[in-house]
Amino acid sequence: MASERGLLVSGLSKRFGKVVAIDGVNFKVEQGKVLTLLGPSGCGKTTTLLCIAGIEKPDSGKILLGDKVFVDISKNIYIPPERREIGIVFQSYALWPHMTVFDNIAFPLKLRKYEKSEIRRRVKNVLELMNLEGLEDRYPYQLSGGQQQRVALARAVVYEPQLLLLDEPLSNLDAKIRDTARFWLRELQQKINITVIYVTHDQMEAMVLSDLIAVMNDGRIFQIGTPKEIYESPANRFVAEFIGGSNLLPAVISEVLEDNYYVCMLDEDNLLCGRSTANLSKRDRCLVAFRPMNVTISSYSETRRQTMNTLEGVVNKRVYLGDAYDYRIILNTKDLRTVRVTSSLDVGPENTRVLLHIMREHVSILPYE
Amino acid sequence: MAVRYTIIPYLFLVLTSFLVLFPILTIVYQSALSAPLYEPAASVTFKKYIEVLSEPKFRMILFNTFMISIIAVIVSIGIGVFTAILVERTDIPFKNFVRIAMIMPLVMPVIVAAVAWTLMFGRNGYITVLLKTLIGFAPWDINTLPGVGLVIGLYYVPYVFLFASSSLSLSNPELEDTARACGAGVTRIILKIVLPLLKPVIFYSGLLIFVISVEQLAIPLILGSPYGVEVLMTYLYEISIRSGLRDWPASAVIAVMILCITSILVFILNKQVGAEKRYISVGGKAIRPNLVSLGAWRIPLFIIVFVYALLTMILPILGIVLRTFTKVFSPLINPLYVLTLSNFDFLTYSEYLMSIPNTIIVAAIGATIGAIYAFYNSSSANRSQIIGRTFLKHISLYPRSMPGLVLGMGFLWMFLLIPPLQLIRNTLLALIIAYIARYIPYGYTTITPAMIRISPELDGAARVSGATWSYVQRKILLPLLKPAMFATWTLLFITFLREYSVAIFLYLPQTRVLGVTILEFWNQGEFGPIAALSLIQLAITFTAFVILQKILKVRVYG
Repeated sequence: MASERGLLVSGLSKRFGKVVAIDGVNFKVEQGKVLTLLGPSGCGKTTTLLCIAGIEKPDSGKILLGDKVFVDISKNIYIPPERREIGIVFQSYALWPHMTVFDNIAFPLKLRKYEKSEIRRRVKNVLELMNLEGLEDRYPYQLSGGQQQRVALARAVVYEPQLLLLDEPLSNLDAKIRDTARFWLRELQQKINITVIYVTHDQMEAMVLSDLIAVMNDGRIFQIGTPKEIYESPANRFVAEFIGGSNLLPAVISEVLEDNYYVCMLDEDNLLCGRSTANLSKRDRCLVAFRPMNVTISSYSETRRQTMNTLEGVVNKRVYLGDAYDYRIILNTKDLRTVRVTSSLDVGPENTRVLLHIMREHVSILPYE
Repeated sequence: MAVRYTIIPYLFLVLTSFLVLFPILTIVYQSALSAPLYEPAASVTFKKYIEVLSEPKFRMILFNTFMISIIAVIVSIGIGVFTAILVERTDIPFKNFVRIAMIMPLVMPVIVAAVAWTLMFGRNGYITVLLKTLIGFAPWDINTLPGVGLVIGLYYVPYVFLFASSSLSLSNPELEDTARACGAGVTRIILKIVLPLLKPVIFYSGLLIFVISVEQLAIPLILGSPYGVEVLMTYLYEISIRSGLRDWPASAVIAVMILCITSILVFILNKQVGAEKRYISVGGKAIRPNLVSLGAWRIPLFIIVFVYALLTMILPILGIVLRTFTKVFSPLINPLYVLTLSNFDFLTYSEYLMSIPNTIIVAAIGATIGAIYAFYNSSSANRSQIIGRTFLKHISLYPRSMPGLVLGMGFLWMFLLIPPLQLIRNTLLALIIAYIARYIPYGYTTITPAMIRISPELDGAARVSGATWSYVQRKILLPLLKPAMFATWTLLFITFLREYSVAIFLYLPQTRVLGVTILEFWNQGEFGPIAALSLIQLAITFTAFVILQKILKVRVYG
């Protein structure tokens, strides 16, 4: 089984004084895969990463890479970072300013007592891999942000570690470079076939780069799954809101269908059908979630009103975004909820009566929290 | 495989705690004994406390200490803040001269300053006698309680000046511009805007001056003691060194009293400002137009500052030079008739001569070890995960409140208590260790701000790529901190060149440094050699100051 060489994190907790940074984090990554820890700032994703690196020592839990125990608090095992044989790239890149590019990259090789010629060969290879040829003698401050980021990567992978930890490595790049850097990074990862733990707060980055995404908040993992799973079937309110900014409406389950489909009642006149990963039963309170871009908006018509999964409302605000309109629609429900809709269609100005249709595949039903 | 966990941070936790706490605990222990602590007959008693504290003389001394310190605070704050405002906020002419004049006294070792002031302004001083013959009386008498306070205050003006001018240069002049736009005049702006903004600095430096005035030995000893003005420090010196009584318990009790006062004040001081800001560095400042035009006051105010510089720096140094090369130093005799080099004769005794190289050796080796110590001490406290690193931070600042004399006493007793250390005592190493211990806070506060500014991710990256903690310190942090290390070395070197009070208890004939030799001659009342020694010390300090300032371009005051 491939996961034997993968990373296992189990029951990881860490507090700083009274502040709980992470609280029982568990996950498993197979060899050669990318797991992204995604969450807002302060959610504990960086602390988790630093625990894996060994820079922080957790208060409880254990971390294993393959059969190598990095830390196991219950057995009083703690391997310092220098003996874990992993690579790390920080948000700031952490290039040593008093060393040239060559010295920066050669540093880990010198520590491993490689021959001089071997060091030169390896540095040359990795520079080629990173498209950094000819920059050996530059100092970090003489490089662009993108080059610095690649030097940091080169330094982290030059000694061929089994695990690479990336702490928001793209967040200091210009928006334009960042787009291409995502794909480049993914290609590189697949080329050298390395296991990666990636920390970011940017969901686009997470989508492009990850095999698995773990959405974190308040020191806990709220959902772990493939990008598709996370996006299409958020398991709870936090994930639904954090990923793609879903509309959330309170409802009650009125009917249980097959294949995890349910019919929910917003009020007597408004029903929505959708999917849930949770096990719900009739009359349970729940939340209905759907994304602004998954709504089909149209002007009001009596016949269309009768189709399934259609809600009636009035345009409250219409903002032109260039490629689309951003609408605020007040629903014709008892509690007059407002939802966001994005559509390239112009249905009319404020106060136009409209219909919203959401396909049931695009409706997620979440347990009420 | 190499050492699994680095022991360096623990080593420094233990070492610093030992260097700081052991001397204090020894003193506290001694204060509660009936006899010197090496005597087996010594028993635990608090008799000495009652004995010392109930003496009327002690109450008098306590009163003197407080009065002198308060006068020193008023004088130094008054002059320091006033001149800082002049330099930073007005168009006073020759600003650079004024700035240098305000800072220069720092170059003069305090013991030299005390000697120089006595020579010129003391009851039988040159200027005093000159005035008496010219106008029949002298308008001052510095050999009194207010006089001692005044001189201490004048000596510490540079501290206040540096604190205040740096705060002024950092504060936003727009605050004052706005007041001016509202129609406020110069006086009102200064009273209502500038001074209130300086309040924290005034409070902080006032407290600092109070502490160092309490800890001051040379000025009250040379100016006050002979005329019956005793303070805690001179009293401690008197009964422990000069009287030859060897009443250790009494010495210890007084030392404990001093430590209590200074500890409380330093505790408040540390609360007041973040510890790292203790020794502010004077950074570059943006050029901007002068706020206040002094108008007709420009020249008179400059003359006042010039007279101040004349009185505090130029005349005293002149006095030392003249006294060094004359047999008799009096305004009644033309110095050219009594020129001599005989005041250097004492240098033919190698014991005295050695105090010159000793001073330099102690300063150079001490500063080198001290700077490296400061680096590892600070990185143990700020760059390690050890239990007790917060304690290490606090303990590294504590010696601020230990007067050199008291710390030296603690070390002497420590050496006596631990027989193997006796060997150290016979060498300069004893002085070096004690100097380093006394100035742990200097090193710590110079290196720490720079260290904190280096992102911990730089260490993290090195650790993960395979380096041990100590390797990271050596190969990443140390090279990056080179400028701060030079600054620390220089600060310690200049400080150690001037230091004498730590050595008073510790030195032996072969380990004299200049300051203690001056004190010895003082006790014998030989002014010629005192002046000569002062001149030598001044020359060494000044040369070092200039060279280091030029070569390293670091600021060495503060």
